[in-house]
Amino acid sequence: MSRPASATLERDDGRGLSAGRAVAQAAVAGLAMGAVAQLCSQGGEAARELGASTAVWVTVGFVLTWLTARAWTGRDRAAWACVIAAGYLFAWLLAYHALFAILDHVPNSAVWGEAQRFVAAVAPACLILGLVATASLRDSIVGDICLAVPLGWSLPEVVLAARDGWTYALVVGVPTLLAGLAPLLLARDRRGRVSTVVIAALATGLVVYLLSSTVLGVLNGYGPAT
Amino acid sequence: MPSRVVLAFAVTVIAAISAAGLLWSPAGGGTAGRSTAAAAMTEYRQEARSLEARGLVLAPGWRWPVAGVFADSDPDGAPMAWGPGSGAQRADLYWFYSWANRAVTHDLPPEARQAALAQLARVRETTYYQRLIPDTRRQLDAEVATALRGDLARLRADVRANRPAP
Repeated sequence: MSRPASATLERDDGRGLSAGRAVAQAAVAGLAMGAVAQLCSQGGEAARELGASTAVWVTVGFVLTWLTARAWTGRDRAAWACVIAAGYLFAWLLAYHALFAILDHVPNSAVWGEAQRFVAAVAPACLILGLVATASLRDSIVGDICLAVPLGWSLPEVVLAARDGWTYALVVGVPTLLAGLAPLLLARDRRGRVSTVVIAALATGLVVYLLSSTVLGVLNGYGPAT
Repeated sequence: MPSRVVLAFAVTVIAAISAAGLLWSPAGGGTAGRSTAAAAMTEYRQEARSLEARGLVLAPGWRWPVAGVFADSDPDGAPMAWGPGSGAQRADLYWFYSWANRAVTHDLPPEARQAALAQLARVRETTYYQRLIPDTRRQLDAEVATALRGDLARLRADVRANRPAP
């Protein structure tokens, strides 16, 4: 018995993928990535930097959301893309902080205090990821710009890693850059405008660079007292 | 179940969890994630014990303060709330500055200075360090690295500006 189209994603092989299953897959991916990030954070200096970075892990969630949105054949694609992004982000935060509590013997209340700002940030973040992922599927200048956004938000961390030397460039910069390029590589069948992509990526990178210390400062609890 | 009902349910769950992140504080403070001076002091003592259990003892001549680390109220008498991790952060910093202060002491024998600097490099094992944002972490890494190379100017300035009273 086939599922109704409104609740079904269409995979490349033509077999249906339920929205629930897509969210579950995103959550499993989030758990895996969160655990990898925390294990990196427990490692050497450059690995620790990778674990504590933001762009690469968010971009993995974006790629997952983008792939699912691209396969979507039912209605409410943008809304489900946001839900899938949220599933990934919540699961990432859960795995990262749970492993932090276990490995560093940190009390749960302290871990929650550490995680709660990021948990609160998931709602706006999943809206951004879901809407940008959906809009990037359009074969238009808006689609090209949205496709370049992950590369743009990755650029500041790539530059900072490169500034810290070869080890950081290899361990942090390369994975972050590859993740940022992934949507462009995956959408290479589309005839995008290179100049638009480059300008959009640089502009996004500049905005993220200017905002990152403020936003990350607030998220890490070092922002202005409230 | 109609997909729109499932979708509405999913959106509600996302909003509820995010709202919990914004509003719910198990410590029970007036502001999300904030705790009282007593709770921060408890966390401070726990972190001090944790440091010692990991071999990160204070420098000679330094002892853990028993009180007065966190104020209950500000100069106007308004109750103070302390951010998440304040206790652990202050304990880690107290440990760090005990060794930093020793490392920049003028008449310290070279081998004792090297031992103090070796302790400073262990700041990477602290909760404070692991929670730093990348930029601040880089600055601290650079400060310790230059000190280990024999240039104590940056570390000395840091100690002058931030060292807590022993």
